[in-house]
Amino acid sequence: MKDIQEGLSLLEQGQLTSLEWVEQCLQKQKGDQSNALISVSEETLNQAKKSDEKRKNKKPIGRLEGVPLSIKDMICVKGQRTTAGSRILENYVAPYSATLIEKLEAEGAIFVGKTNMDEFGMGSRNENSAFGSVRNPWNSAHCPGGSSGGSAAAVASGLSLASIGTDTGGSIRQPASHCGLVGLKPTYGRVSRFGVIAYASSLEQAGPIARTVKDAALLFDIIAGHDPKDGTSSSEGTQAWSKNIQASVKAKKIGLVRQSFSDEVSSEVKGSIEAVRKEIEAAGGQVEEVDLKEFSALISTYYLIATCEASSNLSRYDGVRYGYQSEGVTRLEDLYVRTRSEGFGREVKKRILLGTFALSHGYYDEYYLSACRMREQLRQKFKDLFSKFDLILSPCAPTVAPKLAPKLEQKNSTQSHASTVQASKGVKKENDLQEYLEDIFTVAANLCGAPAISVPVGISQGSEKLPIGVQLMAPWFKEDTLFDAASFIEKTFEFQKIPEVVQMWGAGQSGVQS
Amino acid sequence: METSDDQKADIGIDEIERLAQLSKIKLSDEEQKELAQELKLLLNHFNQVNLSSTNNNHNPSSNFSNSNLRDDHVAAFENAADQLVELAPQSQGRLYKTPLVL
Repeated sequence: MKDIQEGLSLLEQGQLTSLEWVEQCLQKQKGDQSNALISVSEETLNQAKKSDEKRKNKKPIGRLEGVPLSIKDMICVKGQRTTAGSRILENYVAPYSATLIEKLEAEGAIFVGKTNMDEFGMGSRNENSAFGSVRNPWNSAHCPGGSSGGSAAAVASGLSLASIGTDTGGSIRQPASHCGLVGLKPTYGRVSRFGVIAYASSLEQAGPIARTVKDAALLFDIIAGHDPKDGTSSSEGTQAWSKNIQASVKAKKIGLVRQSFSDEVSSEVKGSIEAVRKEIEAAGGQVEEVDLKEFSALISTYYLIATCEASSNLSRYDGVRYGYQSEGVTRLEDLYVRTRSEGFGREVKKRILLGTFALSHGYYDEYYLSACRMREQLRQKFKDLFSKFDLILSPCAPTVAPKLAPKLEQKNSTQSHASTVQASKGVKKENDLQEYLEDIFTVAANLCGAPAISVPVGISQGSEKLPIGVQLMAPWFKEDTLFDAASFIEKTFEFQKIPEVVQMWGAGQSGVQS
Repeated sequence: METSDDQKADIGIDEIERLAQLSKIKLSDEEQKELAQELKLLLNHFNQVNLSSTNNNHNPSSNFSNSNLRDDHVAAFENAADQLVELAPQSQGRLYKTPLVL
């Protein structure tokens, strides 16, 4: 199955049933070695049967009737385990569904699995999960990106046709880019965060990871919109974006971030950006380089704000009301300390400490307040840029997907308690700063709240054979402009026609083609 | 606090201990040592950028201009209290059960 559109067409023509479609996904899940899923719903086949009955009996059906999707384990689905990739929520069963889940269910979507992720969204390589690291379906020695790495790996492997992830600093776009998929980070406030487990509330948004721009737009059609349960939800009007896509950049003014050609960016990624520039110009668009002088401050600004918000958001995990509770404790204070020490992974502890440091007396002005000022400066900068340009173009990541850390590469994760703890302790990278710098092109959209999309343009040469993606940013609430330009790039570079599977789980096995 | 760059980046074991205490997290000696090194590396990077040299006229806004604060009224969720208490690792009736407070 190529994408959701093809699947829906086959369902309508009676050439496929939802049950068959879901069974295909479940069959692939059995042979999966990417460790993309944390849990699988037992209700899936019954839901598919009900969906087929509705279709057969000509009852009203939704826009995603019978379509198998996966959901990042950061998003609550009523009655299902929702872990955020953390031991502290290992056995947490959500008592309610996120608003975006209710919207997808109302349109007939079937959730075939909850996807693996960096713990609480903290990571760029999906190596920080309590449930083990995730492998990139294109090359299993490499990471799928993060933090929605499980979602991207699931879609690239065909375990689901699309997925909903969350993006705090690039966590939808970067794994989508590393796995040859389309990833949308909507405008802040476009998609309700009610029922999405919080990491850094002023930065994060939920959005789709899909195989095509149109599929991503269709999912966005459904999940976008005002929600009174989310105080930051926008009342800006919505539309049927997927039906109005014009694959064109004609007469569009596009700013190309000059730092796309800096030393940290690989030559192949630079080459891809050059190729995109040429195609846009050939199609009647205007491309002009823009200098982002705030570029060098992006990572510091992002990580200070994100960790400060995380240190506050994660203070709720105390072992009293829900989640993991340490055993054999006789004093309340000890319960807090032991529960959090045993329940959080190493990266989470580090970010909580960093945020606590930046918010503490004597350092608040120097770090947190300065970062907030820089954020405002950056927002003004993009406001100015968007008065001149329709879109801002850059790579999505400086390189293709990095290799998994050596310790984790050999680790076969299971979902047992013992191995969970082992995997959590096994995460130790040589240079965390290097990993943080991989977010350099994606964090600006989160700091500004503007929408951005990543779209694949090619495959790296040499032995790695990994996908390369580019990123487009648009003014606030101009997702339609993003879809038009991304669709142009998709059609021009014909990514889907490139031989899709280079290295999977063994000779002759394909994870992308169905 | 006026400090030199070296001082700003100086985060030692004592500071890590203090932060862990504030965060209600217990760290082993080895973890303290490792995290002190890692945070020092990050803070060095942050200090090189020197965020404080940015234009101070850019006051941080308290909220996004494109978002709306919701109306301040109570929205009742059916059976929410019971459902939430059921999630607790230990409860008694409709009360959370904890170890001794003092």
